[in-house]
Amino acid sequence: MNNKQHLVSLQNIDKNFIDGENTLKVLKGITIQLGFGEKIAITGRSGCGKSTLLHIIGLLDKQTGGEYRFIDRDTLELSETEKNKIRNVDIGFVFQHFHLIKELSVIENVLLPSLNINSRNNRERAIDLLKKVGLSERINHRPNKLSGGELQRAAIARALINQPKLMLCDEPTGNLDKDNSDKIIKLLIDVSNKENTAMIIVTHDNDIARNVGKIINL
Amino acid sequence: MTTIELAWKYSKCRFANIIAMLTIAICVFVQVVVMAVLDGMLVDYKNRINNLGEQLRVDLPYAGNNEKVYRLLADKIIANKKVKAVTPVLQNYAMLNYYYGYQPIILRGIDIKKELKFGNIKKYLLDINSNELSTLQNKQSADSTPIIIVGARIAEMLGITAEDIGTQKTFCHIEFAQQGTDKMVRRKFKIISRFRSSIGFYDEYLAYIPLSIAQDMFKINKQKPVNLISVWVKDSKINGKELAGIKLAITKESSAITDKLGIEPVRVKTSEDMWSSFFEGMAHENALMEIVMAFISFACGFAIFAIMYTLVADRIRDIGILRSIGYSRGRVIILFTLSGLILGVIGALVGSVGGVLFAPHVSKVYEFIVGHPLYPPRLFGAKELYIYINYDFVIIRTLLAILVAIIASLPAALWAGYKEPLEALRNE
Repeated sequence: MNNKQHLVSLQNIDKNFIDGENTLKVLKGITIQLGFGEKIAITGRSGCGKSTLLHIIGLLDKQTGGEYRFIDRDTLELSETEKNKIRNVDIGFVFQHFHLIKELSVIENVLLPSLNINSRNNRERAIDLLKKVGLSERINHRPNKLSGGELQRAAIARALINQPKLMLCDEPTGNLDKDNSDKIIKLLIDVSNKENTAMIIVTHDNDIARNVGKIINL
Repeated sequence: MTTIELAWKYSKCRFANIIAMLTIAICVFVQVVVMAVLDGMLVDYKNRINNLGEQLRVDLPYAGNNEKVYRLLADKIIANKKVKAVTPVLQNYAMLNYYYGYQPIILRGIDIKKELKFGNIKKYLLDINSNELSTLQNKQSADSTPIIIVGARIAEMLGITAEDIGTQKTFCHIEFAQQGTDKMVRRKFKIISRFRSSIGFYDEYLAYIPLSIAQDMFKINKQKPVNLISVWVKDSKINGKELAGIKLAITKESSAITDKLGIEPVRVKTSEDMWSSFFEGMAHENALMEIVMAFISFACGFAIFAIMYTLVADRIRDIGILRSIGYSRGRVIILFTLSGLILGVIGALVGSVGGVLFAPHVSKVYEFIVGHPLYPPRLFGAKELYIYINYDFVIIRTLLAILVAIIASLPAALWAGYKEPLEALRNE
């Protein structure tokens, strides 16, 4: 691995939303650099553009201005297929609302992103990840049988199934109580360390941000 | 997890999926059952016509020495391996004189002995016992009156019932024009039996008399006139193509004979040629019904379209999840199209298998529910509704239903595929 190479490199990122004649400037001149295995927390008040920034990093949205390079590649030059592949292989998402598919069991949800990976050991890895997040007894349960904390654990396992280089967590504890929030943050840090995965957590909770390490306040 | 696995999961969970599947199943089921009934009617008519009358008929020129032509041709035709028998016929029009007036009929002079052996009249005779059977083989009844076998509708017209057969009430009078004169000749016959083919034309207009009686009635210059040859084939279930082959062979052989004799060529017709306009009419009706059924498929397609749209609208958030974890637009489109395909395949298979299994019982079920037969025998003429399942049709309609399901799923699948992931993720 090249130590000088950044996993995520954002230079002067702007994001504007146009609503009729009005232009809403959500992000202005954001510069962030994240190395492999690094962890940062992005904080800020509601509506400051935390989630928008995360969506740009996760290639779900495009910046209006500035340069975003993902593993040294200009993301504006990436084709739709390349973006899909990066989202599938290199990035794992953890959402505030868990976003599990209710018709699928826990293990099926975890295996969902393994679509593009021709690994024979996907199932073993899914079981292993579910053990790591403490859901080994719940692998065949449907999401509607799980608590909020358990749902987020399953979502973390899903985010890690393809051994991504980057995990993007958008308010991962937003729907959890204090006890569960602490456990989930601890788990996120723990598994990302074990998997050597870089992580960006968006949160409005400064305590959580402090636990992650480096903080960027928008 | 593969796309097809996910599509399968998506296809089996929701109530709307079951409704979509049932819509397809019912659509195919109805088509299979309706066409089994209509095709059954057509096949039943063909069978009845083929069974009662000859399968092939050779029309001889009226002038000339027909008996000689008959003998020469009969020898040639019987040499064909597929031919069971050849019988001479003298057929002419006559008027049946009954209480309320006259009824035109076709008098068919036949060799009764041969017809009983090779033809199928016996199968359709309503009143027959061993004594009458021996009478049938003679040319006249015990009181020396020529015998006649009439269609059931003619007997009805004459007011003759089953109980009357064998009594003195069964006499009838027939008038006919003697060839070459303006004179109408009247002759008395004794009805010794009735037949019911359940084909209106036969039952209402046809009467059989012994060939020699007919030859005696209609002769002018010729001693033993014959105006057509009935050809009976060995295989009673012979199909139209094979019959056409025999027809071609007979036509070729007969033209050599007629050329040699210097007479007009004979005309060879299959039973389907003789009834071509009737069969064409029925086939046309069936084809129209098939078109109506195809419209049902398309109407069903609209229902599936609406259901699929609802299903996709219900899964917008899932689409966002899938796109965020790397599903391409194409894969999302394939996923929802596959869902439609799965619904289509299951629905179409359930409908077609159900239709094939149910069709033979449709009449009984209808009668059980409604209280009267689907096609009353008095109108339709068959004791039981004949069902014919055309498996080509079943396969085509099953495939069509699957195709309709795929096409109906496509707009919803495309809508799903082109949904922006962020917009989809925000959908709650």
